[in-house]
Amino acid sequence: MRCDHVLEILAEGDPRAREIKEHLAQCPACAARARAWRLAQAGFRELASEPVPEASVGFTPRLMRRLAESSRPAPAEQSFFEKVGRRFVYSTLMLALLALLALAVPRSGPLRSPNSAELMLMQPSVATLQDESVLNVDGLGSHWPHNSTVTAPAAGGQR
Amino acid sequence: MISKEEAAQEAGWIERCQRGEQEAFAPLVERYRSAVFRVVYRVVRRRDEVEDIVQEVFIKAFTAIRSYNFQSSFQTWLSRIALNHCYDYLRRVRASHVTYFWQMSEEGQRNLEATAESREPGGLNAEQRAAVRELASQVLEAAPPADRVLLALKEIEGHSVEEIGEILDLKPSTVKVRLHRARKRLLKEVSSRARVRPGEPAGAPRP
Repeated sequence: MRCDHVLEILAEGDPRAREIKEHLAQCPACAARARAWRLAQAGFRELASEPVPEASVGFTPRLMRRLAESSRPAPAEQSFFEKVGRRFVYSTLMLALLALLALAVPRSGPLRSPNSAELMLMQPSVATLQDESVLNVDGLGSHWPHNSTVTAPAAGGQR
Repeated sequence: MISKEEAAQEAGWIERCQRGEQEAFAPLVERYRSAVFRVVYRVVRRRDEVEDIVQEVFIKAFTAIRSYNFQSSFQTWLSRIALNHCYDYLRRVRASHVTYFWQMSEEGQRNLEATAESREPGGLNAEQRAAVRELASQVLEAAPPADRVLLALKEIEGHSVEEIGEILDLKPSTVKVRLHRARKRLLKEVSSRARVRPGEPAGAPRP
């Protein structure tokens, strides 16, 4: 028997088992191979008995969604909605931008008065206003109650 | 095996899919999902990756469903897609050097040597079983992707050479030759990891 056949015969469980036994008894290389093969086989048997993981909940709906997304051929009515959708996104973004600007502008000063903005940056502490002239900076002074607490620098009015 | 009625129902789903009706694919997914999980897991052996791969397999299958000609069973056709996908995946993983190579623990090694020396590995104890399982996963992990696909189908799933030929669309004689080479490479790996020593014929008394 040729050494090259031994593995095939071993692996396929050939009925020529006796022939093999005789060969293995005389051929150290094949005997080592046979031992290695038996180890591998035992290992494969163990792997075969391992449980196979199962699909998680929602597997099929998830797949169907992916399928719908990946194979969208974009017929006319969909491209219409796509356009509308895009416009909607752009206009929302624009509105958000405007809202941000509207929030940012009064704080940055120029619309109120250039001085107050600068001073707010220099001295950002909360001060109790006692001097009525401070409140005149933006011309609102007369409407404010006398002892109110306002976030503004105390020195504002001195300039 | 599926019954005649089930087969007719299935053919209806497939034909609808071939006309582009995606909804008809859902029952096919439900029917074959566990079979695809099985085939993918046996080859790839990464629990955390299996689900993603199976999803990709089904998406590929739907995209290619017009090429299904009812010659082989739908499961065979799906398995072919799954295995091709696994093969690509393994090659990608190898190319990016993610393949990890871990050393066997001392204890695992000792158990393995004991197992290798005993003539009949039929009655293994728990440690020895763990050791041979570790060995088999290691050698599979180290094997070239094409070998891995073949060995998983033959040695783990127990398919015949003819069945493998049908799944992979190869002649049985080609499968036989490739399987033989894959086994030879595998044995080299096993021998080097399990330190199976040549030099003592199986029947010779040990000193």
